Amino acid sequence: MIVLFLPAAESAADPSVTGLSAFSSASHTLTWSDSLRVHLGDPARLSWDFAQRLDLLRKELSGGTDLRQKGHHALLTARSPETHPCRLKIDLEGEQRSFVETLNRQTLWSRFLAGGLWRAPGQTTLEAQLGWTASRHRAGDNRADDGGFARRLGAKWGAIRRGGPSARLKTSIQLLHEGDNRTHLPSNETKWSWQTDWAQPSDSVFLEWEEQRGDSRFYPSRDRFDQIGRQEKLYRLAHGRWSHASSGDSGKALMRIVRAVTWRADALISLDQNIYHVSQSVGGLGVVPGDVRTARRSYSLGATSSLGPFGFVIDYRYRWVEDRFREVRRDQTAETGELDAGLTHRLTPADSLGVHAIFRVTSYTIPVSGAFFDDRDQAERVVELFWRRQFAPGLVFRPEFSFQRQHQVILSAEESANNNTNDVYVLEPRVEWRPSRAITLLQTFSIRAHYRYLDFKPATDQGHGTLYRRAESATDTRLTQTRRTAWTIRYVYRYEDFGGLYDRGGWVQAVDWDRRSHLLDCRLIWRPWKTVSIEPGMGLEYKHSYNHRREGTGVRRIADKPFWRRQVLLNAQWQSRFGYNIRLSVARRVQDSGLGVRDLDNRWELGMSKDL
Amino acid sequence: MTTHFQRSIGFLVLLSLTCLGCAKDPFSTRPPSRPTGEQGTYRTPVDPQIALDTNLYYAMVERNASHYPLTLADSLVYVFDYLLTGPPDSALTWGKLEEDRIARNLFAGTTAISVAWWPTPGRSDRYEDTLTTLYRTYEITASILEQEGTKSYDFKGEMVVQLARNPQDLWWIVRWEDLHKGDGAPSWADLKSRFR
Repeated sequence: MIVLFLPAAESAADPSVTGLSAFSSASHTLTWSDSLRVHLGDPARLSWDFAQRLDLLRKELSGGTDLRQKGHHALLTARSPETHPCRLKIDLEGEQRSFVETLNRQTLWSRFLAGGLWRAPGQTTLEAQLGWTASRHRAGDNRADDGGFARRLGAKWGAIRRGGPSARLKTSIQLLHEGDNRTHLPSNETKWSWQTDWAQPSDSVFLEWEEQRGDSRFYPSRDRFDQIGRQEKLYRLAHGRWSHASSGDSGKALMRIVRAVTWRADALISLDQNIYHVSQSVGGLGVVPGDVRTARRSYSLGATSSLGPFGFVIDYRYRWVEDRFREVRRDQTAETGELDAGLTHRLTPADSLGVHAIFRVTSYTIPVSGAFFDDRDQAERVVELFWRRQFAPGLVFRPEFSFQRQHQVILSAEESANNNTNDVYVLEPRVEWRPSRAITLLQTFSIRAHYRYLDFKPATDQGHGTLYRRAESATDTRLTQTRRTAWTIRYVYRYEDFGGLYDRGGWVQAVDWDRRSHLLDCRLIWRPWKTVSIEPGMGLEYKHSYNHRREGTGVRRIADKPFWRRQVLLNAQWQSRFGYNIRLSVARRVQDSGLGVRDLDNRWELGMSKDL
Repeated sequence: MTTHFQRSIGFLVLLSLTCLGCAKDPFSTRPPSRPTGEQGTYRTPVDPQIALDTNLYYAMVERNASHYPLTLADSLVYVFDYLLTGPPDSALTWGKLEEDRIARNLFAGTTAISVAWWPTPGRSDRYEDTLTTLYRTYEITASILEQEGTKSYDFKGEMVVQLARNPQDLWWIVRWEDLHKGDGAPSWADLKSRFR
């Protein structure tokens, strides 16, 4: 499903209507998503907000059955004028979820809240709403109704203190509680947070603390309502960031160099914890009583500098994740250290060189060795080099070379036979040429070689790892015909082969298969008027593969059935001066994978929005 | 100016001292032991089918928690239609970290897993240059360790798997959609939910 989002201008003061409707039909799946937001009223009087969202999905499963899902959510809010310190706020909210014709299951939930909001001097706000909530769960002939009082309480305090012309200290504390006392499924959720932000020209400090606690009941089984489970949640977050910038333009040479470096530091600590309890077992597939706890903490340190023609960036990142479960044999701790550094040098106004490297190691540690996983390390090294040469204002040449290594190391003897190393070498020269204002040409060549070795596999004549090679030429052209018409054309030719590495007085590749691909994509971008954009396009792909069969001392190439696909599409958009924004997208795609089955795929989408 | 400079240096020294206590060497790995066991089944995923039908399949069958995450993209989105059981706010989607955790839990909490899947009848796999969609129908039997002993459960469903090329130009799973069969039998998502 393609999500379509059409923004529309909206402000709290002006009346506005924003709508979105998207429909798609593809791969035996029909989806329709529809949303509407209406804001009416005058800030000096009562204002109304209405928001609703409807999602429909029909998926045809194999065997002729359908899966149908429907979700509908609506919220109506009324507010009294913001100018008064005491404001009235009324919420009416409803939600419906259903699975039709598969489980015949439906959940209805509604809530009515009414109350007030009091804004005291000194940025203090108090909010209190009381009301009623009701829910209905239905599965086949089974039904469970529930209801009870609902509440929403909130408090917010904030302060700003200025310590000079550019120093500022800002603090806020917020507390929010939502809950209800339904007979069977009561729920409570409380959240409080504290934020402090201190800033002056060279330093800034940001501190944040957040804690959320939740306690709710639920039906563990979707088909029966005679058992009730309980879920308790706890989430904590601590976040701190300290940034410092220094720059100097006087003093001795060494001090100037040090001062030219702009230092940046970030620290992030987060903890989250989830606890699940079920009052009674609901069978082997039910929720299992016990705790699931996850804790994370991370920090990063970084520095950037520019000194004359040199630019330098360095970052160190640390990450620690701990998983704790009901049984100690499933626990794991992961610790990552990463160094990311880059250096660029502008040789002349037309030439620049650069190097970028990443070194990363993640160590997984478990308290008890198991049969299926054990202590292990994953290492990654990436080195990239580039040279950029601007021959003329419209001609740029940029070759790049990169090397990537990924190494997996499992420590235990039982599993270490899986240890492997992946090395990838990439050479990618690129030319960007604008011979005139109307034509832009981007030509890219790419050559890749991917080696994969098992660390403990002996290097014998029976083969030592594999080699996957890929060479590609991509040509992108943009022709600007008139001020309102442009063409884009992309053509790609690709060669790939794959095979084992054998010792023939040096490691050589014995090709198992090779493949050649041609891809063509053409688009027309046409704007007949300022408010209308029409983009028709087509795409083609043709792929031919050959298997290599060794016969005696020779090799025979056996052609596979070719693969091809073609696609035509049309995108159109209209934006009127009266606020209408309508977009249409249509695509038709045909594919023949050589297996005798021709796949046809149509999809279209329509989106619209309007401002009043 | 000197005060400013001293504060910069002091700031760096303070941060360095703070962080040295919990730093991780990004260059070296721990030395492994010589292998005593057999290597698991894993092929270089130069085609989408190898990533799914070979690597993910054998990671499940061999209950190999090291190979399982190699088939999944860092940005993986796992979605499902619904769960037969579970807490009310069960997310209908999760990512690779959760998948990795579920796999470890699942492999440790079962004594055997048998898996069979085949192309979904009436669906054609959809190939594009950088994105491939594969349709599979599966049946899984898992022997789950419980307090009363080991119990065997069957799971049936369909999956729609989207694969893309990773930075090394190999294929991995970027989106995995799990669907129940029309008869409402437990699906793979129900099995995973049991081990969340």
